Amino acid sequence: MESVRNSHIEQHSRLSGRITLSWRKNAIIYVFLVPVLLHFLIFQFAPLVFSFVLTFMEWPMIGEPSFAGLGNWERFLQDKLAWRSIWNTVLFSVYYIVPTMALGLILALLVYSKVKLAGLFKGMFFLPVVTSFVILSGIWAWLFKGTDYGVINHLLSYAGIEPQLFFSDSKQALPVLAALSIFKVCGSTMVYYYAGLQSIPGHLYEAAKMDGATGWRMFWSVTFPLLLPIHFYVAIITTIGSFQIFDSAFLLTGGGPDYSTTTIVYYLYQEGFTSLRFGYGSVLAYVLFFIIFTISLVQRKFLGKDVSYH
Amino acid sequence: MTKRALSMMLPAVLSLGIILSGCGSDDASSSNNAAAPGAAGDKVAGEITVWGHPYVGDDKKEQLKAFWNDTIAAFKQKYPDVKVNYEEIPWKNREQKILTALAAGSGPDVFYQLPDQIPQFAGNNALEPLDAYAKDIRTDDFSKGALAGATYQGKLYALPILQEVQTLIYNPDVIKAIGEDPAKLPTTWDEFDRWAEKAKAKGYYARNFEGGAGCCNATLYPLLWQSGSNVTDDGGSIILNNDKGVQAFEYVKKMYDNGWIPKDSISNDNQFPEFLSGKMLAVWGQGSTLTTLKAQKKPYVIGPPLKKEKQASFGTVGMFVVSKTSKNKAAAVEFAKFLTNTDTAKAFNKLTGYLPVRKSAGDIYNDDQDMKEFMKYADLTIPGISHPAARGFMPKIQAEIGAMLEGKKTPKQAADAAAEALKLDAKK
Repeated sequence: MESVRNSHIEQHSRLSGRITLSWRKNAIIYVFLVPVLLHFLIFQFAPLVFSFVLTFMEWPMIGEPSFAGLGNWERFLQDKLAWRSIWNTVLFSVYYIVPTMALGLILALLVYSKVKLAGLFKGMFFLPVVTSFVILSGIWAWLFKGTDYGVINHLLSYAGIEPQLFFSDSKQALPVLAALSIFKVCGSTMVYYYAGLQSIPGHLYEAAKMDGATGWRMFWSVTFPLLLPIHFYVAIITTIGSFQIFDSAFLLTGGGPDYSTTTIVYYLYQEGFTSLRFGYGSVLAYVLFFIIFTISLVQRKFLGKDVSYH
Repeated sequence: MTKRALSMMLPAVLSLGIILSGCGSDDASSSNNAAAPGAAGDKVAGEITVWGHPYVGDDKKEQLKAFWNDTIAAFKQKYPDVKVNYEEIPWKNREQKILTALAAGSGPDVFYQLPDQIPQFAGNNALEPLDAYAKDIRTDDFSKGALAGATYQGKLYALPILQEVQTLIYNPDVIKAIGEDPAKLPTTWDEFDRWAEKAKAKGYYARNFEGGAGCCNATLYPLLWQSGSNVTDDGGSIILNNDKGVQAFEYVKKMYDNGWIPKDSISNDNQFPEFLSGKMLAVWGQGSTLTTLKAQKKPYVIGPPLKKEKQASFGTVGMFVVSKTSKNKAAAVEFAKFLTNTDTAKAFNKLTGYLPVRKSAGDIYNDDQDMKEFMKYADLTIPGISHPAARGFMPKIQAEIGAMLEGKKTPKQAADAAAEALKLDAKK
């Protein structure tokens, strides 16, 4: 009995010794983590909790908040404009995600193929990424002006096509906004794919070549599947980006015409900052969160498989 | 991934974090017994913060800075126990900045507001009513529109400093090209329609209609008022879909279908280039429009506000208000009064090119024919919709105008749908 007790004491003291050693070893890591953790708690986690509490309140940001129970959530269920804004956002994602990924991949393949002036092309393709959205929106407004004064309409006239209304047409406005976002972001996706292409070992291409694979076959059987982690990452960030679309609707269309470009973030902004309904705005923010969270889980399930290059 | 999804959500709520970290302003309220008393009998002392905006272009930036320095120095002479901190806040996102700062308890004591913001802020108890402090102010010196914009539910919440008049500005070359006389401009819808038809026949647009950004102060509202309707009645009930209101919607549709306004009027927010290039008979403008036309050496003639049932136009009023949470209200109110008195307002308006709101300052543009012309119409202007949800109304009306112009709804249906949306908005 005594020996068993001694053995327990010995085990315990060895364990606590290991923990102390481990703490000491990692102390510096914890010290460095503290500022980040504090920043996260104060500026990210606390507002997240506060925003959730707000979903049960009426609060115009000025004045005192008042308890609204489930009123804001009930309002959301009955608010046709909120559902329309979600639908518009989904439509925007359809116009945006696949073309952004495809264009990013094509550009990456182009600059990776060692064409002349590849570096220059890389810089050119990346330029919209570092350009202000306000400036790009101004350029887009000029290009897609819906009268014969617009550049695109002027070019279309050479092909005998009637001037298009673009932003003044509820069927065209959202795709034109999506085109602007694709133009702005595809330089980033190019960089991700370019990095992915560089990480594919050359011997795999050599083996495929020995097996008789050429151009397309090599791309579909080697390059494309081995870029799966990049596809996953790019799919996640473009999906998140598409659901957060706001700037272009705010700057170019004001959510119109006929609410056709009122996305969920734009609607959230209007409810919060224009109508001063921060409780309801928080409900919309949480709905957006749940949508993106669910899509990310689904994407992870179907795309987030491990890829081995060996 | 969960973290990523969570962090994605955070920007949407980040601004709310500021509120959490807000712990009240730390105004140094000095208690000086020698402080001069204000109109309400309080001591005028302490430190106040004033938020203004860039009211002039870059060319006059230094002059505006000098104006504020001089005004603060003159105020300090009168009230030596008050320290005034002036901060210039960019126009962009100014409402969000004010809201966030007020919510965090670190907002300005005195700040700038427009008439359609007054009901929203006053309705939420964010503004100090000024009646008790304004006994020494001659409110009858303010223009009717300015005073109406500063008042909400019978209480004075703001002290006006500037106003503008918006109206149609015509291109005399186009007027001559359509065989009309620049000295005899249209005064009614019918007269304008005849000119518009002639302009269209000669390949010109009749006027601009910037349905994208301009909605609705510069687009539908003046037409609503001219037709004898409004967005709300005096009691706040929505009336824009009454018979006269529908007339205004019909008129917009008529202009669009007849090609009097450009086809992209649904979303365009800048059709000024069409006017500048001589392709448009008239453009909706104000004092700053003339500055551009003069700079580009373009001819122009200022038209009177049109009339269907009533001659009316839009013209905003700029005002200074005092925050309810100000720790030194007496000092803040006295500064607002000093800033908007006849002499200071004269200097401010002369510098910024806005119209004075005080009758006693009405002589500053005696040597400026254009400004005198605008001044003639000052009493016909309405400074927007006075309703706590007025700002939220605009995108709803804009959407329905878009649906109407696209042909998805008749003017009556669009007006009814807008009214319905506004009623819901007003109720929320």
